[in-house]
Amino acid sequence: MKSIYTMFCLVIASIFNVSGSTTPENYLIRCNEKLIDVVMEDLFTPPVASRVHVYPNIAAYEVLCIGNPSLISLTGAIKHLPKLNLEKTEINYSIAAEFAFTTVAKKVVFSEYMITDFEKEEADNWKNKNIDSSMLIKSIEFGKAAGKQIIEWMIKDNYIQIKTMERYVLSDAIGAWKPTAPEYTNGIEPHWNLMRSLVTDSSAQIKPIPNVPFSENKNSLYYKNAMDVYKRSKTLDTTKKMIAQFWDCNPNISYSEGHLTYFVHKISPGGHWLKITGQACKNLGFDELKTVQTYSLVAIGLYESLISCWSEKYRSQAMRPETYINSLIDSKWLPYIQTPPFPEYTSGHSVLSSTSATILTELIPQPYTFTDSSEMYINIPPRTFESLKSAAQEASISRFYGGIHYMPSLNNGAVQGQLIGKLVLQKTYNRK
Amino acid sequence: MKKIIYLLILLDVICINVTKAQLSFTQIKSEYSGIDFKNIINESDSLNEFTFYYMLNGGGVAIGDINNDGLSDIYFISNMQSNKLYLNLGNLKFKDITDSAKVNGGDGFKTGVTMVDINADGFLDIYVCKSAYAGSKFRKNVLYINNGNNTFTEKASEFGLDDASYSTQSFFYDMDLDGDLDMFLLNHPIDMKSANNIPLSYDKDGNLFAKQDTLRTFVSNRYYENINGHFTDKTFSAGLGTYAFGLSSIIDDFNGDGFPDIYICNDVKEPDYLFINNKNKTFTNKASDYFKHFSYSSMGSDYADINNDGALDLVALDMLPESLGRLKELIGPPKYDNFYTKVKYGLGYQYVKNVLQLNNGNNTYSDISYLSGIASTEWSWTPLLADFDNDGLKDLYITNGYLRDITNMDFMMYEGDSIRKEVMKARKTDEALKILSVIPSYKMQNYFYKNNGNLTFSNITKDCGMTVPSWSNGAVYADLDNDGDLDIIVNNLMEEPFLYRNNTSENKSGNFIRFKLIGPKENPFGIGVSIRLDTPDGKKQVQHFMPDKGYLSCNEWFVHFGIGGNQSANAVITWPNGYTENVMGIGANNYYPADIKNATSTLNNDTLKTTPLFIDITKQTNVSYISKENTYIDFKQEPLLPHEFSKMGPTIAVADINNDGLDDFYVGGSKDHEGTIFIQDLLGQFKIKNEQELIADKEFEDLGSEFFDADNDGDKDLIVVSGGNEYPDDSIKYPVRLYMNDGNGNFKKNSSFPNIYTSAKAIAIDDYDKDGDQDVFIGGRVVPGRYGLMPNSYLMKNNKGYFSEVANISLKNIGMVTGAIWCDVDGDSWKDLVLVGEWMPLTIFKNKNGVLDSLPTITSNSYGWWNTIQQADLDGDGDMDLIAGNISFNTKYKANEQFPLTMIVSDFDNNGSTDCIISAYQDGISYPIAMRDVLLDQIPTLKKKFLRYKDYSSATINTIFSSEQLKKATTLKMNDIANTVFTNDGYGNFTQQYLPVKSQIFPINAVITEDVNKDGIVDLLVAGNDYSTEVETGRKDGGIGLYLSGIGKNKFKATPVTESGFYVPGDVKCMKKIVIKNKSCVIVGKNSDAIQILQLNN
Repeated sequence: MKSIYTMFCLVIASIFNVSGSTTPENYLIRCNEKLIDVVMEDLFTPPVASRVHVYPNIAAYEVLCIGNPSLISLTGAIKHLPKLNLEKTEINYSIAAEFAFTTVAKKVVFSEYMITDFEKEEADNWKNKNIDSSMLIKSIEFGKAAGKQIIEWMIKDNYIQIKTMERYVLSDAIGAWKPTAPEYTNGIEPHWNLMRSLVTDSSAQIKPIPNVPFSENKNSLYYKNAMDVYKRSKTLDTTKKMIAQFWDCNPNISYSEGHLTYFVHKISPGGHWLKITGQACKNLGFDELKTVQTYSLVAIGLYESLISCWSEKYRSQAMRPETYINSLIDSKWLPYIQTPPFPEYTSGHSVLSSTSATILTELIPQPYTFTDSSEMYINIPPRTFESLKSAAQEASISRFYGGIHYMPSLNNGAVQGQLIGKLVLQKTYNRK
Repeated sequence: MKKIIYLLILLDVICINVTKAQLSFTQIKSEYSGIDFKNIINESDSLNEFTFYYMLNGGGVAIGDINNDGLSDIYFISNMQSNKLYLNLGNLKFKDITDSAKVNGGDGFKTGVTMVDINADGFLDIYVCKSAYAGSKFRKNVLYINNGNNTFTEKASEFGLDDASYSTQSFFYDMDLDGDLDMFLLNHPIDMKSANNIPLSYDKDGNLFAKQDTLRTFVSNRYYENINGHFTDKTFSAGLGTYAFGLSSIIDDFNGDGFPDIYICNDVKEPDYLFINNKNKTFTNKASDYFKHFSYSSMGSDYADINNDGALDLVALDMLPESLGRLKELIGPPKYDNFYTKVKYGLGYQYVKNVLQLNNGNNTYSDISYLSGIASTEWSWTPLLADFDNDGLKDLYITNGYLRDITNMDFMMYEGDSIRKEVMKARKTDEALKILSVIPSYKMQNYFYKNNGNLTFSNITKDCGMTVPSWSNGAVYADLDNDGDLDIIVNNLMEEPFLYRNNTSENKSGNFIRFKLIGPKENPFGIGVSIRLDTPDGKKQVQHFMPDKGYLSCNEWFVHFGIGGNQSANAVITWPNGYTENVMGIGANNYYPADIKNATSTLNNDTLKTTPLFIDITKQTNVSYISKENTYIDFKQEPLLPHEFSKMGPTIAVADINNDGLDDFYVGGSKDHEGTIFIQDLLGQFKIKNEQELIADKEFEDLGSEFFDADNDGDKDLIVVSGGNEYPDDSIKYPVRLYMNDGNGNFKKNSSFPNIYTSAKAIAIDDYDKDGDQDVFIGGRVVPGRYGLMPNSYLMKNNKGYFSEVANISLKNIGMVTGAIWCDVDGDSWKDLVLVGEWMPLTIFKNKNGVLDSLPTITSNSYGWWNTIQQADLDGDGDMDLIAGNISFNTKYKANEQFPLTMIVSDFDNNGSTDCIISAYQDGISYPIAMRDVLLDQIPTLKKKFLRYKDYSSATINTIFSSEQLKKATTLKMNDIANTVFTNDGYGNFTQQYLPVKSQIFPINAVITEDVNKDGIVDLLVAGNDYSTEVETGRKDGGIGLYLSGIGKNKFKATPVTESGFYVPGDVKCMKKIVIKNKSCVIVGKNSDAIQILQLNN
């Protein structure tokens, strides 16, 4: 089964080869696509996935900085990121960047073998491009050394500590989040606010406006918001259903029939935006430096979004529409898509889509219309968008159609994401 | 020498004595028997395990002599093809007469079958249940009326029984005692999505509650009342409307009021029901009053007396694999929140395991499945409790098997998705069948357990010749060859049925008596009759006649008793109308025809009212204190814990604190609740006395307390130790506190007492150095948040009211102490310090002229999870013997000297948290007991090593960790789990003796020694439970307290609660003697429960 993914990537790789061009930036796309597959295989939750994606891209970025002085190192933008302790030397920096990426990737994923297999294929690819083997080896070694330095910095990000901190304890407070059907899984990653941030000062730097106060009163805004979700669920047309499905990037979804349950592996919401990023780099023929920059900034944006969003989720511990509607409106109601296992406010999709669109819009020449075929792997047809912003808006509203978020979560989450996107740009791309 | 005695006792208590078992079965193949039918399932795109989740639950089998020729005939269900009726030709040869008899079951998906003489013509009719198909005409149950000439005519609608529910099985029984047979029909919903969803609603007080799904046609169980031969649906007026996935049912009188009740085994989220008959044609579910917990996916069930105490016991099956490896592949991680969400919304305590609910005789049951050894038998369907070897004890046969391991975790988490994507990619349409095809599939052996006569069973599957693996569903027993022993017939999926001939009579190994019932007109076969059989050896057996039990099936129409070597027996036959027949001297190996005509109306004669030894006087004392716990969940911090440490209170200390000659008491408060003093008045009632100093200390969790005169001023001062696990990072939250009494019962904290901080429980006080004042030992219980590390213990020497620590390095970190006493074990007049604890052996620091040894003396085969220790001269030889409470045999993982339970402790991933991994032996190899996801939750880096559940299933500690990592780790062990008496030889050498098996049902947390019956021999009162275990193993809740009367030589007799009145259920943590109104009483402290006080009534 695993070979499907490998085959899929081989197909992509061969298409590039057939084109005859040696566009070196394609390896970055292949790397990121591979990593998206591994994340899907390993069932990482959205916050952890954002961590998996960001460090390998930073590693590739920093290696390319050494070879190409026009690319400004991220060390200034990320205060605690040390400069790579490596001398500029006669190597192929593309190869080094790729293996810096895979070295870090192997450290952060579980299914290491998938990356190891990928490295072998890639080494062969480079060989086929008339890179002589001593140069290849030298470049790979350089990349590995860089990767190791990035790993040393990475592991101080508090991840291993927060993973074994107190698991989420259900709150008895009125209106507090409750686990939802069918698995009633406990809230995931309640301490993500303690993760080391990259460009923000802390997880509290960008906060959304406070959530609507919980109320069971039928005249309350909260009740009205829930009724909106409920009513919308009763009038979902085919397009809205398609939108809900298209953006239902929930890596934890279970398909349950009594004793028979199995988990459907899907790309994470961040992975979806990295696919959009890859499509853009490819469509627009970005060179290697532009590609690594685009990926890295989007990945940093995703990472920051998830920290900010998750901090708010466990700060406000808001109840999902499913719980509210079941208890006050209709005890049999289930949302169109499965409710993921963490508090409601704000919508992760809204925050990170808005962050990503903000960053991409700055990096990509406008106007940019595109067709997103990220969901083809599960037979969901492509969708075409007028702009990145409209894609982000659709990703956001899809969670309302799906019945798993109230409107304020979307709107306030989008503002939150926009602020994060702007901050990332200000600290990196637009830094003076 | 010690070891030999130990082993002998072991054999005596948990006997795996196969030499006595001559029981054997011979499989009779179809070539001989003629039974060549197979229950074949053909799945299609429209009907498969996805579209109908009960697709692979198999079919039933029914026994009955349809032509009254004296030979039991067999009717098999085929789910999707023709059912089969086999006429018994004698000598285990059978003839298929299905077609000529016209009983093929018709269209539809058939499930359960029963026989019953519905028209009371003396010939058994056949009733077949149906399910699955959407069209209701395919689901109409059929009733084949016996024409008396080996042919049948379908007449369900004529009798009002053409019910089109999604049916599992039918049960015919005289529910309203009007003489005729009514019907209970067990059904199930079809929306499997609702099987695990908890629909919430607010009640009128604004509290969330789980809303019962609305009752629906074809889904609810049904109750049909027989009114003049016609069946009328009275489901809802009887209160039997339900929405649950019922898989089996037992109809019997559960509360001994003469009226039949209905027990229902429910699959998935709904707990089992026990509908008690209100005697007015209505029923009320009172399951939680009778049972402490249930199996989760309850399947088949049986109800019979396993220990011949006259009270019937219940067995219900689930799907727990026996092998640890398969367990790790098939069963998901325990989910604390999921579990307690269900508890919170009224779905009760349900565990994935078989239960054997021992009837305590007072309308309560204790699950002894771990003790008895029958908890895990794979995906199980039918239990048959019957005496297969004619020794007078009911053995247990269990069928199991499921075509696909659909709970295989690798399939669920990984492979299911991969294959789904593959199917999608190929744009194939047969997704369901393709996905199903990748699920692993294994046949398993069924289980045969021989009853050892001491609440335990031995797995003799192999020895009795039943090793053929299969997917087995419905099964029955019947003496098919009329040779006086019970043969077994099993309906298998995809293969021929099993016909097992019992060789007991061939081996002449046990006598029998069989009863054939001849009932009144409307119940001619005597359903509901109860028979008590007394044999000369003093054994009393009781059976209730209800052939319809187990799973989807109907057993033979005789009541079979094995009587061992006895040559005769007396019987009392009681009919549903209360009429009885007494028969004397029925000869062995005979059939007795019990005819209602010989039964007469009798008065209840044997209900002699005996006054129990103990009566509950809690109400009279005005003590209405409930110990309250805060909601700290230790597992959230330490997922690998075997149990929590934040729920171990309360502690109780008793003394006359105001010098008025009356006993008063202190009860410790849990975190955020102050300790409370209760003062006794002359009427034997108690009043709370508020103490500011105690209130000021309420942030501490009190786990140990004692009154003693610390300053020799003639009054009782109070020492309290703080314990628990709630402050993992804050050691100063665990102070030892000494409160001084001003002589009038007012307390003030002694500020000169040294600052000692340790999460403790045990306190032992005595003047061990004979200097005239009372010294104190404080036993550390646990290092908060770091289970596995050794807490600090303290020996505090009293010097005229001032305390100072006595240095003793090995004592300081001796272990997780739970119990401590000062006891002169070696007769040198100096009190030695005796300790027990978790992962600790019996540990004694000998006292040499007022100084404790620097190293302890230990008893090497006594490493236990001890809870408490007491001393008394039990055998009257002048030295002190010890009684120690342990985890008991009623626990999942057994341990002994050869195969200890071990725990390895270290910070393996260097992230600052302490990792503790418990391993247990299986087949000679020690494996970690943690499920993969739990271990990976504690040590996330191991995920790289165990990408799949299968990878982890065979891993041992040595393959998980490098030798370097292991070098840095420490290992603890347990090799004794029994509740034990340590007999002293007078020199401080101890031999271990197990307390009686009835005291091995629960962990003993509290022991009181007292000559209760004034016969000069010390008796014991023991109690305990543990509700704080992790949710996979489940709460230890089988304890209801036990009075053990000493019968000399350190032997004890367990007295049934019905005689002793010593009924102490709940999460008992401590018991103390107290005198109330000049009478000896026992005060009992329970976690999150009310204080209970019992008075000794003599």
